[in-house]
Amino acid sequence: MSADKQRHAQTSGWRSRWQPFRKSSIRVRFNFHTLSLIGILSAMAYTGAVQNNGAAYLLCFLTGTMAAMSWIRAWENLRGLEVVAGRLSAQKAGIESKLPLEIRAIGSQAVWGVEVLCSGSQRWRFIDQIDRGQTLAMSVALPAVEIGVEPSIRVRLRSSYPLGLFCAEREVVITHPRKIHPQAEGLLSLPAADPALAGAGLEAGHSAGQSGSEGDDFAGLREWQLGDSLRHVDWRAVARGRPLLVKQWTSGAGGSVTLDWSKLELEPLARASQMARWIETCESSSTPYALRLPESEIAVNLGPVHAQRCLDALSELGGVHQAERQEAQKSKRLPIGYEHSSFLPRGLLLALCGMLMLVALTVMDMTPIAGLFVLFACISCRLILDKHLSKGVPMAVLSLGLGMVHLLQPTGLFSMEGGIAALVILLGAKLLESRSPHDFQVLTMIAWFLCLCGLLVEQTLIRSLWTLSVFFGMAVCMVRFRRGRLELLPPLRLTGAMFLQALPVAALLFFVFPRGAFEALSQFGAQRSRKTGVAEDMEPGQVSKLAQSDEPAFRVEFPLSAPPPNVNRYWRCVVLWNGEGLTWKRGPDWPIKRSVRLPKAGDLKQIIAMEPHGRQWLPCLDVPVLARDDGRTVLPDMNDLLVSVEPLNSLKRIEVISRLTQDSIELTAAQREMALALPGSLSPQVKQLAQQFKQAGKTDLKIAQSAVGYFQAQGFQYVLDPGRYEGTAALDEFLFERKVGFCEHYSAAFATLMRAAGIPARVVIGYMGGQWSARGGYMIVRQSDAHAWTELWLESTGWTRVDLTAALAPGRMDLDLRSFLAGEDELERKRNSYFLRGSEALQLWWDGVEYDWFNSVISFDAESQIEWLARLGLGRWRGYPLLLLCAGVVLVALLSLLLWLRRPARQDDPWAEAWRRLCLKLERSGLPARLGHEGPLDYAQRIGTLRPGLALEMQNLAEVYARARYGSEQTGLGDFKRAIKWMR
Amino acid sequence: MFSDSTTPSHLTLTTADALASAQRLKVLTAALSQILLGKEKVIKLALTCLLARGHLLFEDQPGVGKTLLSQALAQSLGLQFRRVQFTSDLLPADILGSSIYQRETGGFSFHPGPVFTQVLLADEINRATPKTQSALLEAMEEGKVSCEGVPHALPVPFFVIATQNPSSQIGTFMLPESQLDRFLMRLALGAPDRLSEREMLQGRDRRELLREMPVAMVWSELEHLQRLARRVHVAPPLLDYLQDLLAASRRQGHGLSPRAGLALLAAARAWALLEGRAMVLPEDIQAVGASVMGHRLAGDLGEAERLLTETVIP
Repeated sequence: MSADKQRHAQTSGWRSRWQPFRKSSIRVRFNFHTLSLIGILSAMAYTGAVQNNGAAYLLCFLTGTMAAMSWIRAWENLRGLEVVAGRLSAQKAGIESKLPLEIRAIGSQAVWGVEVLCSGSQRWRFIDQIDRGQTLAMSVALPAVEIGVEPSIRVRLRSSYPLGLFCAEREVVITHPRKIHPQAEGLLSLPAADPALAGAGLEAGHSAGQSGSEGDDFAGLREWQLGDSLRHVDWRAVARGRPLLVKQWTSGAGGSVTLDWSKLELEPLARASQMARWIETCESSSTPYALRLPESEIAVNLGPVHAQRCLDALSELGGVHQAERQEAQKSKRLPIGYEHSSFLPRGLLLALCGMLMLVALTVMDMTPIAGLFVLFACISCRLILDKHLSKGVPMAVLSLGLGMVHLLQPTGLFSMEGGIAALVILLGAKLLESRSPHDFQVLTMIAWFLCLCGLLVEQTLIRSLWTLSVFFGMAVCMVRFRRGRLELLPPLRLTGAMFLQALPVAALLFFVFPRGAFEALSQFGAQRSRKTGVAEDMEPGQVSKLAQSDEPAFRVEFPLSAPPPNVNRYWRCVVLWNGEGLTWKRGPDWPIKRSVRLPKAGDLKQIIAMEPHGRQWLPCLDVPVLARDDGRTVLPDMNDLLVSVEPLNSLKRIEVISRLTQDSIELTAAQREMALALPGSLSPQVKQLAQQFKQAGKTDLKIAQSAVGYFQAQGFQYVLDPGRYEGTAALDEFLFERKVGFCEHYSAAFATLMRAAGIPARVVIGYMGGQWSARGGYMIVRQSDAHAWTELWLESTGWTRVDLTAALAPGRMDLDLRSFLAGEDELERKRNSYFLRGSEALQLWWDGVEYDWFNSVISFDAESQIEWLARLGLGRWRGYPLLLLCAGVVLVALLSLLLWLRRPARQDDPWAEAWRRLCLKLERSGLPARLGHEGPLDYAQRIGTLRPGLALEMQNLAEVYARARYGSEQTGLGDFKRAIKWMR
Repeated sequence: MFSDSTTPSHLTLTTADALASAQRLKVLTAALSQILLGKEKVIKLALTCLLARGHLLFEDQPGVGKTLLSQALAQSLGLQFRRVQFTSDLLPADILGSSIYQRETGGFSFHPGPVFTQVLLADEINRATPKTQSALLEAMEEGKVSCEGVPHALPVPFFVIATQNPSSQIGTFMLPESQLDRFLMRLALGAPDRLSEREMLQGRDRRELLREMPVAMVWSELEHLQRLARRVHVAPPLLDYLQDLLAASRRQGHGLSPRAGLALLAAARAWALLEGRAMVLPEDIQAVGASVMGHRLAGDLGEAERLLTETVIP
């Protein structure tokens, strides 16, 4: 009656590990969560392509690999089970019965989270765990069926282990014809006795004593049944409190009865029931009976075996249940199983809520605080109430939350930020109504998606690690849903194993998977913009505000030369032409680009890795000659600036060649006119001051020098926060009253004065300085290095940089702004304090790590991929061969996982293992295999009789083995193994 | 009744001891085989039962040598032997004994019944009423007889061999399953093979031979061997096998009880000692399995055999 014979296949050899799939009755099906998974995977790939976001790619590959591995694991989980059905007692129609089952974990590891159910039945049993080699005895409900013969029973095993992303199903067919007997019913009395047949075929005991129809030997009591005469009830027994009992008399076999099917005028079902009742009656009154059915006849007899035969014949009359009915049962909707109808314990809910909070934190800076508040409120509500709410409340929360997002979110509901906020609120609302593993799985899928959203904002190492760990925690929760037991450690261990197995594959795919495949996606992308860094015009107070931020703006490597000294580190970003006092604007675009110039000696090559700033400018040192962005050549425009085609919304790397001196170029008339334009609101006082400068010097250079001298002599102060200058009189206020300013004020004022004095001038904003990181070999330029200065057109040198800051605060030139502002005392303190120096070094070191992360992972794109492959000697591989390679990698990984899962169950005892090998060896040499129940000595003896040459040796070996495995002396394993090896 | 299921390592029997015991037991077996020809296996099983301190049930036709074997067993060990023929009118007092008024002393004194012996042959036990049967079975279990509140200890080696006749069931009271469980083994002797039968027919009268049979082993020695049998080593893999067997029997409705498991292990230990081994092998369990499990399992007689062939040795 054993259902499947996989145990022997499991125990022997490698060949069985490749047992083909087709023999197996396991199907792994997609479910609702698979759909979500596909959605999430595509979203991840899309994000990776659109943002050129390496972290999203990595997450995508990791998720995909884990999903594929969970497919294999789901398969193997069910494969590691052996189902043996027990004996089924005789069944009556219309009554549910139970099938005893014995389920054994025969694989190399334990089996978890399996539902067992019977086709057609609406009830299921859930198994938490069966340890390796252990057996679980249980019973499943069989559906109530009509009278007849059921050729087989189909037991269905179902499991969503480990991640719940797929549903594995296995059908075990127990080919044991089940005869369903009719229920004993009916009120007709027994047919008349047939004395002619009396005694025929009966045992002596039953035919003895022919003393009339109602014998007078008291034979015993039996339970009263419908139809029994009340005359024979044992009333005394009833009076003693016992149930209704009927006195039995040995009737002396007054003859036998023939139960004839054709003589009953009833419906077939009722007829069978009536016959069953008669059989029961005959048995209890010891009346021999024969059965006459349309196609068969059973001779007169009595006794349980006879009754069984008769009832079996009756049920066969009901017909073999047809194959169509089987099909109908098969297609019948399966009962709502564990997935939907079980409740998860509070401890798990707590863990899940904790993880959800962590997920919400990853998107904290993209959602309005109200959204997070709603989520938090939902979590606390769910935890405090400890029960799920009906549909209405969550819907209300959801609609209220969405409305709030729509009102509070500046970008509206239908932007990315709005969408993420909506997801967070959805998470909360779903949590309120969740109760079963299915609901919680939906929550974790949303959370996985939010992990991805967290990577949209920034991709720093810390952020990525944070996201990955939250992702991992969610996977642990998923595994936990699929088990019934209350432990957290085994799911943690399993998820850890899955993670570690998936990580190398994901990493390899990350480097090898052709990025071009996703390129098409990036065209649909609407990019997220967040503007930081220097603006494209200048208002008083703007740069000083920016200078207070400590965030990195870009990092620069100098691959060919040493970095320039601090004095020369002027990173030009934007040139402003239209001056109105202290406020300067960009002026018209110059569509004409500079012509191509070849680099020459003394030019500085830089590789600039930029943080996204949402604008179009690209920084460069002084005068750029040539730049390369993503393989495209970018030429500087007429302002000697580099401009990107699109706003910079993602991390970017460009290569720039800069020249520290200006080439001889002409200033066009239009440009000169613009560079001399004065605002209408310029006060006479300023004009007068300009005239004063003009008279002081003959050449433009002299005029400029006298102006600088003026600023130095008049006691102008250089401070970070000079207060506000507003309105049209701001310039006058600055120049003649307060005389306190920051670089932006000085550059604006100076440029205006120079224009008034007749020298073409413009304002440049950008960054000055930068911190050299010796570890990373690059220079980091922060927002705090933001700076503004003036450029004057001098006939001899062209556009020439004049930085009043250098004149007013010479210390600033050698220090970064923070150190400069902190003052000399602070610097001294820093020089003496190990802590401050250490923390600075640590900060730099960490920045280096981040930079490496950015360079190697985040900005890894199609181009770096080709470069990387070329280094491996696969430079010519593009497109399809790469795709094939990836498929190969995944296939190999999955196959090795499969092999690993199918490894033979480890024999804890080395002796048993050695003995197994000996038996295998004998089997290969043509001798009969050891039977499952054969002990070592018996087998040795059998082998000895078959091949006398081996008899002595085999007996010795068997005795050694028996002593070691079943006795207490366990020495000489090496000798034993050697003996096996040398045996021919 | 049975020994402990696990053996502390310092108490484990040495192989030398086991071999010496086997030698001594072989002498006993040989002596018994002289009387009952061609039945070595049954004789060994009966000895196993004795070594494991269990009681024995024979279920066989009359005249195959049940009484002869019991007598021979008793005599070869120098034990006191009594036989009680069970009939339907036998009363408990007829077996256990009764208190009888003594006119001289004016009090009651206990007159012990036939149960006060070392080897008791309860012939055709299923002929007696359940009341009488249970009186005997209680004595077997407790090792003492209570009469009017006064306990009377039975002699120390107390070995019951009961027989029941399966073929004629009219007017008999078959032992219920719960009482069958009290017997360690159920054996069937069966007809001897042709050669042995010829030898028997040609040879001297068995009863005469029995009368002349010397004592092959003194009781104290057998007692020592019984103690040794408890010390036969049992390894965890063997217990795994035993448990698998028990589980397999339970798969089909009511299977073997835990007591049956203990009995099986004790019998296997005794058998291993008979074979001269210091540890129990699966073969030992298989050798005694059919006899120990057969009467404890519902269903037909082949059930125990089926279990033994279907259970895989781990």
